[in-house]
Amino acid sequence: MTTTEIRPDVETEQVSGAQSPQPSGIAGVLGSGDHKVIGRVFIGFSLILGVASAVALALGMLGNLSGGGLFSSSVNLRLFTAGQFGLVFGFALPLFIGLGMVIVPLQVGASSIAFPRAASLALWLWLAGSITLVVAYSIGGGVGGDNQRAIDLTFTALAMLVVGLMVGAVCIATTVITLRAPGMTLDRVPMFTFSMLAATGIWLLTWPVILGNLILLRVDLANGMFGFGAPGAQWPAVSWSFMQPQIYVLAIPVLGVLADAAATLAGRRQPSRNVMLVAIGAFAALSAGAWAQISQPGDIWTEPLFVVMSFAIVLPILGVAGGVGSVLAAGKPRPSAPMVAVVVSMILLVVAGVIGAVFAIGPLDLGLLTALESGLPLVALGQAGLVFAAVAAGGVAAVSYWSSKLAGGSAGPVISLASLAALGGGLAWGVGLLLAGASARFTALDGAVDAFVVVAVAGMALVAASLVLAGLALAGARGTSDDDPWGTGQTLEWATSSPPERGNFAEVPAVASPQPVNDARGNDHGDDGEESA
Amino acid sequence: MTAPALASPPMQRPRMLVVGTAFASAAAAMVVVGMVGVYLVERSAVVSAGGTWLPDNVVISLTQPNVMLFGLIMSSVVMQWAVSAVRNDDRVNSYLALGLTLLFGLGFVNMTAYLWTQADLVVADNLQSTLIYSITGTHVVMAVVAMAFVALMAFRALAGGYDSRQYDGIAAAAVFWHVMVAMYMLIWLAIYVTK
Repeated sequence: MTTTEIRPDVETEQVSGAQSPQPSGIAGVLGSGDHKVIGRVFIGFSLILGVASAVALALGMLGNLSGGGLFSSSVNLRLFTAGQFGLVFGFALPLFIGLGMVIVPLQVGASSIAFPRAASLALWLWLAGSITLVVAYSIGGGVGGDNQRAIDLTFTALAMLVVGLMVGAVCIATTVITLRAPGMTLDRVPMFTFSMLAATGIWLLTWPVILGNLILLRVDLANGMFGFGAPGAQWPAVSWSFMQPQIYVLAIPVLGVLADAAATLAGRRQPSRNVMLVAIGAFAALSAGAWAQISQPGDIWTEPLFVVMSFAIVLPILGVAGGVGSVLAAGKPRPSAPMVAVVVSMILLVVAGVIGAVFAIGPLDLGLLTALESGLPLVALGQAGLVFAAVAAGGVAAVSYWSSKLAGGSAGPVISLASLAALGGGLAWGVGLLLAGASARFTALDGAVDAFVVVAVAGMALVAASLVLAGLALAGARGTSDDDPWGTGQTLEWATSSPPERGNFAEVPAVASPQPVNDARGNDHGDDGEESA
Repeated sequence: MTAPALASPPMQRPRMLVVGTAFASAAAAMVVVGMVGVYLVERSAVVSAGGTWLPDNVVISLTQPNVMLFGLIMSSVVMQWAVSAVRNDDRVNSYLALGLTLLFGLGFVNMTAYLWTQADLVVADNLQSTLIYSITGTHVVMAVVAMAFVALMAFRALAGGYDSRQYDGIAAAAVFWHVMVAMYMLIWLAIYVTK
C-alpha cells in the first residue's frame, strides 16, 4: 500500500470552515471535533484520574500493613486493583493519547487530526467507561468485589475504556502516516511524533489482547465461572498489563517527549537523531508483553524470552538517555522547568529499566517475593511504580514544554515542584516496595516491612501531588503567546500561533529536514545558542 | 496561439480511510489472536495432564467448518473483484460483487449459528464451551461489522461516491474483510481442526 504526501481536499474545506463562528463554553467542548479541544479534555481528566488512582493504590497498600489495615481485605484488594486499572487506563494511556491528539497534528503540519469525529468518540467512550468504572467499584464491584452485577459492570467498563483508547490510537497513528506535510518523510518526523507512532502501533497490537481476556472474563462470569471469571482468577487474567514488559508500553511516548524537549531547550539539533529513532523503535518492540500472561500455566518470569527482553530493553533506554544527555551537555541550557522534568523522567526510567533487568535474574528469584500476607509481588510492583513515576514526570515535562500550545501561556515555576515531587515520589514508591519485598529474603529487615510500605505509600502520594501541581500549572498557564516561546523550537508546532488557531496553519508548511523551523530561521548548523549569542 | 490547457492530474489522496482501517483491523485481529492463544494454552494444559479437551458428548463435525472456510475464501475473492471493478469504473460488476460478498457473509453467520445448535455445547457447562462460544461469537461480531462496513460502502458506491479516482471506501472495507477471513482461518485451524 502506498500513501501520497498530497494533502486531502477535505482539509481545505475544514480550513475554510474556520471562518464560521464556533460555539463556546461547554457546547464548544461537547460538540467539538477540534483535536486540540479533544486532547485538552483527555489531558485534564487523565490528570484527575491519575491522582484518584494513586490515592486508591496508596490506600490499598496501607491496608496490607501487618497490624491490620484501614479496611477489610476485600476492600483493600478492590482499592489496589482500582488503583492499578486507573493508573494504566485512566491516567498513563489517555494522558499521552491526549498529548498526541494536540501535538502530533501540529508537529506533522496537518490542519486537523485524522477522523476527528472518531477522535471525539474515543474521548467520550473513554470518559463514559471511566465514570462507569468508578460507579462499578463504588457499588461493590471490581476485582474482589461482592456485588455480582457490579463486577460484571466493572469488566464492561474496562472494555469501554480499552475500545475508546484504541480508537484514539488509530486516529493518531493514521495522522502520522497520512497527513504529514510535503517533504516530511517518516525519518523526518519529530521524535515525539515518531514515538507516538511506535506507541500506538504497539498499543494496537497488545491492548486488544486484554480486551479478548475481558470478553472471556465477562462470558465466564455470566455462565458458571469455570475459569477466568472465578474470584481468584480474575486478577491474574489482567495483571500482566501492570508488570514488565507490558508496563513499558506506557513509557514509549515519554522517550519522544524527552528527546524533543531536550533538543529544543539545548538549542541544538540532535546529532544522533537516527540512533534515537532506532532506540525508540527498539524500546517499543521490546515492551510488547501481551504474550507474558502469568495467568497461564508455567512461570513466565523464567522464560528465556522474558529474560532476554528484560535485559535488552535497558539498551534503548540508555541510548535515549545518552542522546538526551549529550545534546543537553552540548547546549548547556539554563535550568528550566521542563528541563528538570526531562532529567527526572530519564533518571526514573533508567532506574526502572535496571531494576527490571535485575528482576529477571532467575537465581535471585524476585518474581513472587513478598513480605505481605496478601502475597502481592512487591518487587514487580516497585518496578512498575518507577515506570508510573517516570510516565508522570514525562507528562509533567510535556505539559510544561508544550504549555503554550496546550493552554496559550507559560506553565510557570510550579511545574518544577511537580517534577521534584515525581522524582521523590517515584524513588520512594519503587525503592520502598523493593525493600519491603527484600524483607522476605533478609531476616535483618523483618521488622521493617511496614515502614518500607509506608515509605512507598508516601511516594504514591507524592506522585499524586505532582499530577495535581501539573494540572494547576496548566490551568493557570499565563503570559507569553509567542509562537515559539523557547526561541529555539525546531519542529512545526513552533511555526504556528500559541494556542493554535482552528486549522493550525495558514499555509501548508514544506519540510526539507527534521528541523524545519531551524531551517526557516536560516540556521543550517543547528547551534541556536551560538546563533542567538 | 495559446497552448491548450493541460488536463489536471488525477486527484491524489492520502488514503486515510484505508490506513485507518488497516490499524483498526490489526487491533480487531489481535482480540481474536489473544483469545485463541488463551484457548490453545488451556487446551494444552488439559491434554498434557492426560485428559481430553472436548467433552465426550460433544462432536464438532469438520464438514461445516470446511464449507464455511471455502465460503469465506470465495467471499475474499469476490470482495477483491469489487475493488477491481470500482477501479475500472465497472459499476455493474462492482454492485454485483459487493452484493455477493454480503451474501457470503450472511451465509457464514447463518452456518455458524447452525453449527452452534449442532455441536451440543452448552455455554454454562464447562470452560471449553465458554472459550469456544466466546471466540466464535467474537468472530461473528467481527463478521457482522465487516458486513455493515461493506454494506455502507456499497450504498455509497450506489450513490456514485466511488470511481477509479477515488475508491478508498471500498478498498478499506476489503482490508477489514480480508482480515476477518484470515481470523476465521486461525479459528478453523485452532478450534475446528485441532479440537
